[in-house]
Amino acid sequence: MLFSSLFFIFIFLPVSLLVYYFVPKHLKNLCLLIFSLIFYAWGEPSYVFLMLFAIFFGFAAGKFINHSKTSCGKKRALILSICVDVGMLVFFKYSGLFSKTISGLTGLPDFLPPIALPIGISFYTFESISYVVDIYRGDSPAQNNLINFGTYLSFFPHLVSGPIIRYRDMEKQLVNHTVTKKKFEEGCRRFLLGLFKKVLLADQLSQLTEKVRWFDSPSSLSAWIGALAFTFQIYFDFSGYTDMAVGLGHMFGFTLPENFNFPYLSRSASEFWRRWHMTLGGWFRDYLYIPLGGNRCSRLKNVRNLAIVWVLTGLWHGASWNFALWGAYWGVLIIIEKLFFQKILEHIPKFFGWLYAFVAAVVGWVFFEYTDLNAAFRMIRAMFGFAPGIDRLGAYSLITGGLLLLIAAIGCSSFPAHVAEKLRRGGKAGQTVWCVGYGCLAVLSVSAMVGNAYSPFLYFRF
Amino acid sequence: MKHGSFCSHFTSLLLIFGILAGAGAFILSPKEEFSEQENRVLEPVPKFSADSIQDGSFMKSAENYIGDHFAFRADFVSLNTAYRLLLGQRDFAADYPADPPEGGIYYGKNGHIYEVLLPDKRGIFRRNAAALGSFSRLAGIPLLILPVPSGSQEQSENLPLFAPSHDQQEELTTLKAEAGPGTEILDIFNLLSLKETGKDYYFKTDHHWNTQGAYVGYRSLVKEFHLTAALPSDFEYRKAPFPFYGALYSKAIFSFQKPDDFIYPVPKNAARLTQQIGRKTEEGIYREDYLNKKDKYSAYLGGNPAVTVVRNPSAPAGKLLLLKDSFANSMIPYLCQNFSEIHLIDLRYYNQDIYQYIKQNGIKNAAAVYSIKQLCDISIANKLEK
Repeated sequence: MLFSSLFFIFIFLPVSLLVYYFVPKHLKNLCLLIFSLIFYAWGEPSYVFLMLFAIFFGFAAGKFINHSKTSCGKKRALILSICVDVGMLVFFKYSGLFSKTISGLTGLPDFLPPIALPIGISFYTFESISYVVDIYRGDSPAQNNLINFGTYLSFFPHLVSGPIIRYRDMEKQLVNHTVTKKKFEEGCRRFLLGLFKKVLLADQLSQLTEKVRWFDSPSSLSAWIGALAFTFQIYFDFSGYTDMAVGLGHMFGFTLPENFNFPYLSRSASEFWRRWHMTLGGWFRDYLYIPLGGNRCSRLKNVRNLAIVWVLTGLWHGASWNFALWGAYWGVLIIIEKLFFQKILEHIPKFFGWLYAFVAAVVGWVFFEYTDLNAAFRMIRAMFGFAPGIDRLGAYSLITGGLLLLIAAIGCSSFPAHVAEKLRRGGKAGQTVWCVGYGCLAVLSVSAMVGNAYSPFLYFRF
Repeated sequence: MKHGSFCSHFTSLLLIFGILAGAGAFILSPKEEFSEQENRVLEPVPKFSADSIQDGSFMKSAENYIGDHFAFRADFVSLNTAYRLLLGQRDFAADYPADPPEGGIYYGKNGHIYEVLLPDKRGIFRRNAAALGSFSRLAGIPLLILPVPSGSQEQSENLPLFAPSHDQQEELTTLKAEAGPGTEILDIFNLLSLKETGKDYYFKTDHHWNTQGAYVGYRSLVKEFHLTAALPSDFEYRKAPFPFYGALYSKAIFSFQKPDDFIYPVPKNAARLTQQIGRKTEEGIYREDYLNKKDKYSAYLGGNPAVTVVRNPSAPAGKLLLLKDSFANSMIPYLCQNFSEIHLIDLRYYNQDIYQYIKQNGIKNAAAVYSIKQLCDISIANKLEK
């Protein structure tokens, strides 16, 4: 169930909110847990048992680590539980990739049947790991209430695509999450903002990217349009989804962490990753990079650590080698910056730093978008001049998609937020403009969702 | 009042009342079973059972149900089209990952909607062309092939500026190259072209040719059979009582789009025409109930059954086998002035041995009328193999 679907907005959300507000306080977490499990079961009912297993296992592991008397026992329990979490992730997400790769290398047939990917498994296994590690390190006490723990792991606003919440950030909120009027209003605003980003921008941009991808062998112009459209699409898609998640969190009285901070304003690759999918970067930093030694070790080891973290970050995004390449690409850029480039970036005009970081992101997204590496390299070659400059597709896409790209580009900056804030503080007239604008965008969003559900079925009934 | 708190109240009220209004209207609005606009049965009320929960069909059905029965659905879709047109978008309803890939439609100039033509990456057309090219050898009778280009091919000057559009001349060349002995290909590209003739032979809101276009196709076909074509003055041209919004319009509803007039020819001579589908024979070639519905083009023969036999005992020439898609249907009022028995076979739905059929019915003349786009999308090659 997508947040940006009619069913979620007009049925699931009002029902879950109503029930949640009316049940007595001590049942609220149970209510959240039940709705989260329904939400989870919606797409693939049988995987709800996997979720239940993850909840029981994580809870038991936490207890076990807590109760172990010796540090050796604690460590064993920790390692076991991490192995189970990682094992779950590897089995469900990557076994298909391994089997395909091995059969590709050896010519043997695929030895595994395809397994449907359980929704959100990349997120909740990481959250489960954060739980046991936080307890092992003594950053937070083990959870004594199974329902509270289940709510942490399965809370539906962040279940499908984050933000990834570390247990220590959630611990206190699990006991104390009152919905205030202010919080609810802020939640509504954020949710709608996310909805606008997703259905009015990301979904429109996807039509540009799909067209360029289908026609393949693009000219320079169409390659840039396709790559830029995807660059904006993925930002509005993902940040819109996070906005909706944070907004929903507020409506239920929770404060979820932020995930994006205007990433396309960055002036280096390292900065980009401090502003893009911040909770994932934070997770890898706290639970992998620093335990590996971080940068408090020899330069060679530091480079190794960065390489490991970035290839895994890449693979985390999808079970296909192009994602590993994409991660490695960022790893290389960040290592180069760490070694010497950062110093140069600090001394050149800010604009060039921004240009470098932005182009690096756009090129990176090509590897992310194209699972077929040959097609990805055709795009990159075309973008850098090894193709005809203009074709009909490029000219047409520029004419019909130029305005959308411009709006998207402005939308990636902090400008719209500034304007909105000015209007909100700008007396009656400004506030009226703001409200009318929000209302119109809301109606347009509903029309876009209805439009998505509208599917003429023409060629088979005549 | 504090800064911005007015706006905050507004957003929460907007969401609450928006949800209540949407959900309320959805619950109260009357539910239709069939959407004429989309030409499909709408989702029925989801069935709640252990099985439907377990296999997830209940959930899918519930999501489809609200999508299909949302109140003011057509108005919202139209608003969405308007939003996208305003952003500059000119192509709609594309679905590139689909099989066959769907390019959707262009909103073109002069209130015309056109199909987006894509190159046939899958090689379906070449296989169909090869199969049609060897039909004559396998059947032992000559075959005349009339490939019909799309409106976007014949009126490319009306497409949005620089709009990519595959050139269907390529398919014509392929057909000619694949044509075996006894096979003749008719090239009517120039005869239908807006630039060459100054005439609009296509519907504005539908992918089919209009009755004038069908007449152009008819005249070329009978000329090739050395028959005299009936004249337009032999027909009375009638107009359907309601405006016609065709299949292309259905892909992106837009309130400001002007409809077509649906005009159809009725022979002036009072010949007794019949159409036989299976064991059922009906008078006339029009199914007039369709003229009052959305899908007016189906008034011609009532759509596309696998086999239809149209008879006109007073026509001079004998039998004709017509391998065809829906483009041929609007040629029938003209063709039945020449042929006394036309056997229309829609190979998409025909599952018998076509060569046996020809022998059994003693057919000596055969033609194939297909839109090129259809031959790129759907394979008929397997139905022609022996």
